[in-house]
Amino acid sequence: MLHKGTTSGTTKQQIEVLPGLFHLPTSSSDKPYLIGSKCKLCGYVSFPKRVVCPACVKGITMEEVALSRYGTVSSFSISRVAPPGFTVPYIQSFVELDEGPRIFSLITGCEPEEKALQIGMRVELVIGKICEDEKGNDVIGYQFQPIKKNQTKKRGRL
Amino acid sequence: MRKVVIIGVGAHVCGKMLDKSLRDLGRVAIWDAISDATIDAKEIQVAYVSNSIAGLITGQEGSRGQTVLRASGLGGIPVINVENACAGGSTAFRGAYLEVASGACDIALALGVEKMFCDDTPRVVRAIASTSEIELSKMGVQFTALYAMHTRNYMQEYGLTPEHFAKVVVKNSYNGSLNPYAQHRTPLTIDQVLNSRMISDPLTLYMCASISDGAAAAILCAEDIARQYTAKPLVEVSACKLASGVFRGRSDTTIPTLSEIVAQSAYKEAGISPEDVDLAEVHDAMAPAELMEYEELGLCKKGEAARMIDEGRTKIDGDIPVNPSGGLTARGHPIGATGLYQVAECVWQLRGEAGKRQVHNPRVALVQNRGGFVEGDDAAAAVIILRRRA
Repeated sequence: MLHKGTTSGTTKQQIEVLPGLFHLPTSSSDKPYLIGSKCKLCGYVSFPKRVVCPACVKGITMEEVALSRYGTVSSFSISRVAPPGFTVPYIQSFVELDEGPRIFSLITGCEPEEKALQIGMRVELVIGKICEDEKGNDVIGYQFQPIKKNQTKKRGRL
Repeated sequence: MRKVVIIGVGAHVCGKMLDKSLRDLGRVAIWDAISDATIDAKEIQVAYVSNSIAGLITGQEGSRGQTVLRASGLGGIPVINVENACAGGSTAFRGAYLEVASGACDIALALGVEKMFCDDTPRVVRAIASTSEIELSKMGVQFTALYAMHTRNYMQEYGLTPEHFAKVVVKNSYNGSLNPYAQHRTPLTIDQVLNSRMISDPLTLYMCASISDGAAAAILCAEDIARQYTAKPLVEVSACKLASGVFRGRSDTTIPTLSEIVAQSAYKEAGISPEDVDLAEVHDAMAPAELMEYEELGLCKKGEAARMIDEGRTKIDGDIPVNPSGGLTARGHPIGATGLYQVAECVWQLRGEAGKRQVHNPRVALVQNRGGFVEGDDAAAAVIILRRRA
């Protein structure tokens, strides 16, 4: 488990890939979650969080919410090319969160092989290193990993 | 709105040209188009110039169009710099079209010019990634994989195999071998395509358009004065439609794709149906996209694209030739110029000037150009319908 402010080495820094995407646990009992937003008027849920609801478009109607840690793989590809700092091969996917948003995510916790993956498989959120920046620092982002069948409860909340 | 015709097109060959600048590439396309139109360069009243990534590749972030045009002798006119990712070429064309259609100008130039090759490959990769939401590439998105994931869903829905995509590449590489403007002129076999390096499964290297340098241009003119300049067949712009991505809610596949929406509106404006199209230049940035585009453009019904390619219907001698130029995968994909290469190819085809790759007596041609990726949809898509005047 990663903790806010810790570093894995003497010189390496841990840097969040982008601000405001996820909650980084501060203790061992604290769980990570993605930060989304929900429209006060129409109930539409988005990730990442936003201010104007893209569904009803009535102005500033969205407020921040903690999202489920579970989702379903809606597509994936094992890529042999990557932006600088990422290790290939790696698994790119679209994950449909239980609240609805279909989001881009890397998949971790399984081999980057076609047989390890399938559309419709259940995955859970993990926060961890996704790549290194040009200075060799660990870039921390969200990813999803396959979960065992007895954990595949729908709408699992924190 | 006035009727608008294309009286001249020109292009530089696509390829890797480290020794040529944007000015060099643009000059060839511009002056080929001016010669083709047989106009005096001073008669051009406005220019729309598309370029996507020069700011990151050459460092020329602002005034890109002016730097290219002045080196070709063009100045003193309004120059509008256009950036719209891989759809920039058709977006520049639209600007020039509207200038003439509205009556603001009589003669307008649309130019697309792009340099993608440089001696720093990571810079090229970053520049391409920057044409979509930059946050995505920080998260690890590789553009090929976005197409790959979409392709996987398409394969699952309609039972396609990688062989279907290889057949698209075989067709386009053959067409490219006949095109003197093409970057890749070696016909490929199905085995060569399937056995080329895997990029993002199921997409192999040869299924992906490669980076390219190039430039293409078109000169548009009010129809009522066009005969003062050219004796060549006139090519009318029957429709020119552009849109940006739409909100799609959840995984609702009943919402038409952006290219479908734009195509429907273009057919309506042109007063034709897909059956009237004699040839199409479509955006095969990745080979599977071409098959999906057959369906999006209404060239066949949903799920029938695999049969279209199996039966060879989209070859040059088929009943609805697609990408006779070789498409993005063979002709090349200098991103901000691609839409104007597509227009130029259609004009040559409609005039019967396409040489060995000539489609039999086409009357109506369609261009489909798309670019970028924002919030789960194309950033932009354009459809242009061109018709040879009797």
